[in-house]
Amino acid sequence: MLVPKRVKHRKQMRGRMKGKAVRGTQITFGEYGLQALEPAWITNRQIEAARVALTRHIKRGGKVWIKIFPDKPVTAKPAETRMGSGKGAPEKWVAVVKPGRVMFELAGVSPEIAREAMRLASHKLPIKTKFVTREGMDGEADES
Amino acid sequence: MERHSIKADVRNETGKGAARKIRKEGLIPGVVYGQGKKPKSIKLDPGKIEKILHSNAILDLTLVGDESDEATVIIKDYQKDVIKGHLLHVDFQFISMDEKITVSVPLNLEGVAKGVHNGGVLQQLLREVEISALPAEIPSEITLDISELEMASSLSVADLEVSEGVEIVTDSDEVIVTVVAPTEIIEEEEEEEEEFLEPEVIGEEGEEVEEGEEVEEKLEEVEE
Repeated sequence: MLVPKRVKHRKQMRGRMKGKAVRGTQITFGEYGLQALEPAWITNRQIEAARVALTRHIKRGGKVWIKIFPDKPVTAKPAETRMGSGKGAPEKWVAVVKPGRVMFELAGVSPEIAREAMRLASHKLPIKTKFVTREGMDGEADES
Repeated sequence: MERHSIKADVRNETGKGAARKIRKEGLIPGVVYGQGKKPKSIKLDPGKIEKILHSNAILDLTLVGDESDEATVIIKDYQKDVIKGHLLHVDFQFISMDEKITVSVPLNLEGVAKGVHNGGVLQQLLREVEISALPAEIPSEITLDISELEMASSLSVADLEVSEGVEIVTDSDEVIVTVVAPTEIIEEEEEEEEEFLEPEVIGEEGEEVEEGEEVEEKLEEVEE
């Protein structure tokens, strides 16, 4: 699973996810992409689950790029603990994703296989997504 | 090189409020600049230019308004909505028909590589090349024949053939396309118990000590 090698601080503030993505909104490496339509924290487990779904469907021949990285630690307090006594312990890593972000890219497979692989991957993510292609970058919305 | 004529209104109001009003009217804001001329803010109908955004077409722009003018321009840059994909803003550049300009031209791969027939995967690393040419001589695309491309070989910018008067600006060593062996996906069934993996924290005491020790060791080596 994706985890940073070194960090400057063990805990971070939560931050806000206002607006649309300004970077990573285009397909840069592959032919097809999966674009986020909602803001969310995507955990490293969700990224891994989506990657496995993608690679299992394309079997061999294609190439997958993961364009988001979970570099934000999220803390949580243990269950049944009284409030207070400081911030909880780091529990998971998330990637901050804003609408418009291309999260996964795919190349070397037919459009039908790519669309189905991205559909399967989108079911592993907590947000609505859209299948996009290099030409036009105008796909249809997928459910998720 | 295809040529189109479009009409645009000169606008005096600027800023995001004015831009939003223009977009509500169904138009988009734009700007024309270049050749040392004074930049002009304009507004125009996006429908006419949406189809020719990627074509490096030469445009005869008619400016309507206080300073009516006609100019030859190309589309230099544009902004699109990241989700809906509609046009938000366009930049035009004044050009002269007898002066060379630098533009990006798309690459078109022709044929099926031999390596692909043998089970390889075609990877295109470069999709556009920068060229310098007179506006009338700019090709709409550059074609590259890849049918002789074997497995584990590649074609670079140096292999491109362009007509006389067209100069390729992109570095000739840059690889355009390559055929690689397919990677077998090994399903590693690691059922690791999901525990939080804590990375090393930069500037923690432990690390400082380690670094200090390393320096001391090096000093000792030097002394010896």
